[in-house]
Amino acid sequence: MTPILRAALLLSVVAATLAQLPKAFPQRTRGAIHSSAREIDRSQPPGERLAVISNDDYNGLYFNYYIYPRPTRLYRNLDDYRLDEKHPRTIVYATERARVMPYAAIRAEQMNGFIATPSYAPAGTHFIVPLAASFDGYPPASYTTEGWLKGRANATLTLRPRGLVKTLTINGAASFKDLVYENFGVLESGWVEVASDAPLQASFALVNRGTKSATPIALLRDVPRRPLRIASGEKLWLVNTTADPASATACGAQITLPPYAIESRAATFPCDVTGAYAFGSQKLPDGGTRFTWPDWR
Amino acid sequence: MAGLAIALVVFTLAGAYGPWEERYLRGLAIAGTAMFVGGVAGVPVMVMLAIVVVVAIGHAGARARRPAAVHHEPARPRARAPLATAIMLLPVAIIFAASLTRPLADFDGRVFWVLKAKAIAHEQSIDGPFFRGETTWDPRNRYPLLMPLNGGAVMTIARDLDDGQIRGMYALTFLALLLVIRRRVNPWLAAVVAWIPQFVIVVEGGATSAYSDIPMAAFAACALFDIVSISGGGTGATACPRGEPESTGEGACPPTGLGAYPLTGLGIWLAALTLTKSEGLIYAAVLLVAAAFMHRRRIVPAAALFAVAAASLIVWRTRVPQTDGEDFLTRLPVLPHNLHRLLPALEGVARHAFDVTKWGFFWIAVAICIVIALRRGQWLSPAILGAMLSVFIAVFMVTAWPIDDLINSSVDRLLMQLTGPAVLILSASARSR
Repeated sequence: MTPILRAALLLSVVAATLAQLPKAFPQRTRGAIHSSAREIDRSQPPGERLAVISNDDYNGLYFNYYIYPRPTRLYRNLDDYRLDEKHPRTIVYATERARVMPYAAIRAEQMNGFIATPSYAPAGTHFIVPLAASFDGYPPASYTTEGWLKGRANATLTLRPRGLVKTLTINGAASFKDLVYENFGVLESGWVEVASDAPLQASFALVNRGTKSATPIALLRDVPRRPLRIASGEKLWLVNTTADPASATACGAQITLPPYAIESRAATFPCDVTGAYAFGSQKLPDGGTRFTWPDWR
Repeated sequence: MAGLAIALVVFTLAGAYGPWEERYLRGLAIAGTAMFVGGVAGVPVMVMLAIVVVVAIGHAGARARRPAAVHHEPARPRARAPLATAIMLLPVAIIFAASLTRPLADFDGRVFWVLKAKAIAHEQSIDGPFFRGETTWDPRNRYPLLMPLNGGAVMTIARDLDDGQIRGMYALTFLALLLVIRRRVNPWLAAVVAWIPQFVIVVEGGATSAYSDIPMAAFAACALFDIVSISGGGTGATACPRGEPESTGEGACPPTGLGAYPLTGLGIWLAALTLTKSEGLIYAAVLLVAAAFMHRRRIVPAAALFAVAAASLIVWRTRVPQTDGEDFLTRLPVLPHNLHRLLPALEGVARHAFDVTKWGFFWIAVAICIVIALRRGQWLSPAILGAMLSVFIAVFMVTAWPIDDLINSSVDRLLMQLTGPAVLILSASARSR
């Protein structure tokens, strides 16, 4: 190689490097993932294993790196976490900054967008959402109740049978990707009583976010007195909407329901029910749910 | 800074003899290999390191007591190209400054390599709970451990698992590679390599990262330089009689390894290649075949060292679970069915090699010089470069990944590993037949 060619070669690499040098090595600190990992390490009992769930392919691995040698178990998502029977109790959600968070909070933070489309119906000033669920089943099943309220009113939502209460001021519209968790801060199933000082329009749907399926929930404005007939389903749901124990007869069996209780049981359909509100449900192969509402009008 | 000093002292001592750059690289190679082989045998890694350092000091002392005519210490390089050296050192200074003041920012370095170094420093073992998957998730759990072992040793001595302790070790490795090229090939080509953006600027795999590609490049270069310098080779390198003092510049005569067994030194580089990255096993085999072709039975000591390293790697891999990562060897049978990927793979390699923003005119010049070298009948370095290149062409052909994704994420780093044969080809083209 002649000196001229060598100089040309040298110039080419020097020029290419100098052109990019001003933008090189921009990072002066290790970032929030490092500092938060150190904070979490200090805050947790020595040697306690942490579950790490990340919002992408990188942050969990970086957290894992910075918090070593503390034992960890990495999960790609909440489904994997649920599948692991030996999962650590303490969960770290690793995003740009790692945080120790409860399962439900991570679940809520990861919930993007609605699955169902609202189909409003007049709901008056007092109605019941007979099934309100927020729980995760065998992956990918992840159930929430999506809800929409339209109108201008002060509304009180009560989660039954737990009795948790949430008061809302609705100025035009309100919507919930997860009615139960967003309003009551719990992952559980029950039914919701809604009372308002002005009439509302409402729409609710049971959603399986894992399979992106949604099934409308029929609102209950008045519990019928006469017997209900449930035509089909796999599961019979019985709801005691009163503050007193209810003696119900379902498919020929005598049942006592505690106040505000909701119970489910396998049943032979068609099934006649007296003394409680009832509906049927059937899980579909695609992960969705089909409800059978009582024929009582 | 403590880590830098520890790496400098420990690996220079472990390297036993020769000019600093080769002592340092040999120190990395011997220490890492010994800790790995010892680790497979159940010996704590720091015990192996201590043994290596003590033996190396003893060996160096014995050499120093021999008459000067008997041991073949290479002479200091002539101060022939101070300007080239100064130009070479400028980016090195930048890299040291960045390594010592900026945090480690690359993905593989943190997630794959330094995590393993931390685990080795913490557990003092290469098959402890970490590598058995009992404490945490270790991506690429079966990656060879030479550099994590060396990094872990530095962390252990520093009593600190912070990655800042081993940044200096990687920067020193780059400096040593450049100095080897400067001494054994050409100072101006060392300056060229020092300024290649892929080495200086690129965060993922560059000299400020904790990837293992620059150590691979250094070990491969040292192995190749030993092969051609001992034989005279077909690269245009001058045949050097044993014991002739080393000189810088084209046609240099490099040091001759371990005295009466020059190719034992080659074996150390081959073992290090085998234990540095997965592809190193095949690179080492390629270089061993080249050495066997030129040196016949004299390669036996080198082959033995290579065999010990390879066997240790295989045994260790049977003990630790594979967590993720693609096992390319098991996919080789699909190669005949994937011949349609050959052209895209070649095109991908060429696209990256000829990207002047990452390589300047380096690989363009190498491509031209390969033609010149082949016309002159200088086949060794082009053949070795071609063989090493064909390893990753084959990987691109059999991968289950989208081929473009794998090429884009790896080919520039793999090209870095070919620096040794590339600079020999460039150097050889300068000479008349």
